[in-house]
Amino acid sequence: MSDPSSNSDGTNTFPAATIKSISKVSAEFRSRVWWLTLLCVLISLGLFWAAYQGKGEMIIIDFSDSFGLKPEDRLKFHGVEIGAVEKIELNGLRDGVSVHVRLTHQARSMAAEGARFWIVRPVLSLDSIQGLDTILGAKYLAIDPAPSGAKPASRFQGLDTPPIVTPPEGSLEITLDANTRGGLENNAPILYRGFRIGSVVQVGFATDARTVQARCAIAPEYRDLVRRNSKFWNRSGWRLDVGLTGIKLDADTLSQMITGGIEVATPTDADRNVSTGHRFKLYDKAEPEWSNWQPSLAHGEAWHRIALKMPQPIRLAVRWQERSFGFRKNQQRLGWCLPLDDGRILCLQEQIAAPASAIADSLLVELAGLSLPASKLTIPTSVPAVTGGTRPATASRFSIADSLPAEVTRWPVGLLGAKLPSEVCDVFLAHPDAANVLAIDAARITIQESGWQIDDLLMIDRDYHGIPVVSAATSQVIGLLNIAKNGRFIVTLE
Amino acid sequence: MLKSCHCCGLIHHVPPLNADERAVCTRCDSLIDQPKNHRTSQGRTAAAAVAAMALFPAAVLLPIIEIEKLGHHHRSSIVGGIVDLYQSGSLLVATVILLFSLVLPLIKILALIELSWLCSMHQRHRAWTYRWMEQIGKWSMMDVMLLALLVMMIKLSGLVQFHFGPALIAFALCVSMSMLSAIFFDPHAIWENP
Repeated sequence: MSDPSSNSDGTNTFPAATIKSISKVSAEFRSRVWWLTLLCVLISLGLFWAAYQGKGEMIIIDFSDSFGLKPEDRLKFHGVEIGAVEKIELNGLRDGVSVHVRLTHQARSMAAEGARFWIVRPVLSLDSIQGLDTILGAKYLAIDPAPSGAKPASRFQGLDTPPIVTPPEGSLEITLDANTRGGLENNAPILYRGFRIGSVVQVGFATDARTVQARCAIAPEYRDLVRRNSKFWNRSGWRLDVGLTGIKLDADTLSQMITGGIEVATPTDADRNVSTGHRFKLYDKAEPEWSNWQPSLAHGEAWHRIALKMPQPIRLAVRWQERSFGFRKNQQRLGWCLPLDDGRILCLQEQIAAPASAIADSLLVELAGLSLPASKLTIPTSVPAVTGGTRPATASRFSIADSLPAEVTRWPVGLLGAKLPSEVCDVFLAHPDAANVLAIDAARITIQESGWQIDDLLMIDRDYHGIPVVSAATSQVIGLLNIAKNGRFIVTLE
Repeated sequence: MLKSCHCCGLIHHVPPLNADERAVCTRCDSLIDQPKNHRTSQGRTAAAAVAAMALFPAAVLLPIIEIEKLGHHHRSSIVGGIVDLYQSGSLLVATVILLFSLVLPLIKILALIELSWLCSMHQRHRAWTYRWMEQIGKWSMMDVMLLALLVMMIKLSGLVQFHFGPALIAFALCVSMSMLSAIFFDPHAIWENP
């Protein structure tokens, strides 16, 4: 067998392969600068990627008028930019404009079904100036976001005017019935002693058009000022009285002349709180005595914080017999006491002691359905067994032989203030019925030797004798109310 | 081999060089030749030119500046700015910027890539390209635009608010890369075959 590389005459006819340098091209272009090239390519790609990554979703909002909105104006929520207008065009029907808005990523969930959009533009009225920042600056879109969990949407119908402000959570919503509109506008204030506590949400006809109804919202912190027997009257516009003595113009503020206002007053003997949906009649004018009502109503944040953990005092009556002209005569003193969780009961000392004139052993203490003779009471020895004289009233704690019914709530001893604070503070008189809790402002209290004295002008029923006094600041029971002949005092617990 | 000095033009006779030697001008002391000079130059030029080319689209298409004045926003790229100028009727200014900041720089970069890397043309043709590139390069003024941005920022900073966009980085890098590429380029490489 012959060698395949050789033919018959023995000469080699295969062509010689061309020899090429392996790294001819690469040697020519070998340079460290190519690393720089790679870096630049990556930067370029990165910039493009970042530019398109940052773009959020596009939504379209239809408006009847663009009100001067331009491309690149912003969509803001609470003043924060969450999108930008990309273009504005006439819609297909030529009856409005379509605004294309590019949202940022985090704003995507806001633009779902139920979201409302409007164009913020300057509104000048005598009542208020709105959108002042848009007079010189750019107009912008505002959004009232959709409730969470709503279905995503990409096309919306914009509002021509800002939406009616939804009252904050916890507001008291009530309806007022009036015969005429009387100048009432949406957003008109509701005033208590001239102080704004809420506003009219919407004014409209009743379904049968017999009356005008105003839906109102009272701010959460003032909802306790409105009671079942509160009176509402219209303070809209102004009243001009021309008489022999001159001309009298009756109007509170300029803004009230324009938008109208509703005044509310609560009687001194305030009824229970109302719940949302309550209806009141809206009077055309106030009765003269309404302006004299001066209830002490617990309200505001401090009250809300401790309203649910107020002490629950129970009634306490002490009865005894006295001899008068040879007859036995029944005497009694009514008041309140506070059961404590250590088994003892806190009350004023005079509620468990008889005066010196009482017939011996005739003392009877009644509380929580129990009737206890003096022998069944365990009274600390430091407390004198008789009352009277000029000695200042004190508080005392006693225990009873029988046990109190289980349903009686007991106040923790830890929440008793040892003594009155060195400075006067706002206090509540803790009546067990929440509607009857009285708030006493620090300004109505003066410090006396025998305790804190409450301003005589304040109306406090005699029925409050012995009621626990709770500090608004610490929500501790700091004393007991003593209604004496020479004034109303807050008595320290010591 | 006869070679003229780049700097002063004096013609020298350059003998063949060893790997660790280099020829310098007798009059002005500038470098005339170096072994494998054209090779390294070609690679570097090509790398820098390709880098500049890669950055060019990002530099002209992405937003380069965002101006905010009293709540009015305006964001613009170089191409967008030229379109805006054209639409507002400043035809001459738009054309000048289009030509000197967009078209000519692009031609220069492409010419550099061609001369240093692609080698697709005949030698004579490449010489022609090189001549044209020398002429055009004088009119390609991308770097001037960076200066214009700086001046604008300083002069207007009290009146309006500036935000620079992502294209600024690309633009600055693109300018430096095309300059580096032009510096690296050795015209002798066109005629000298290795």
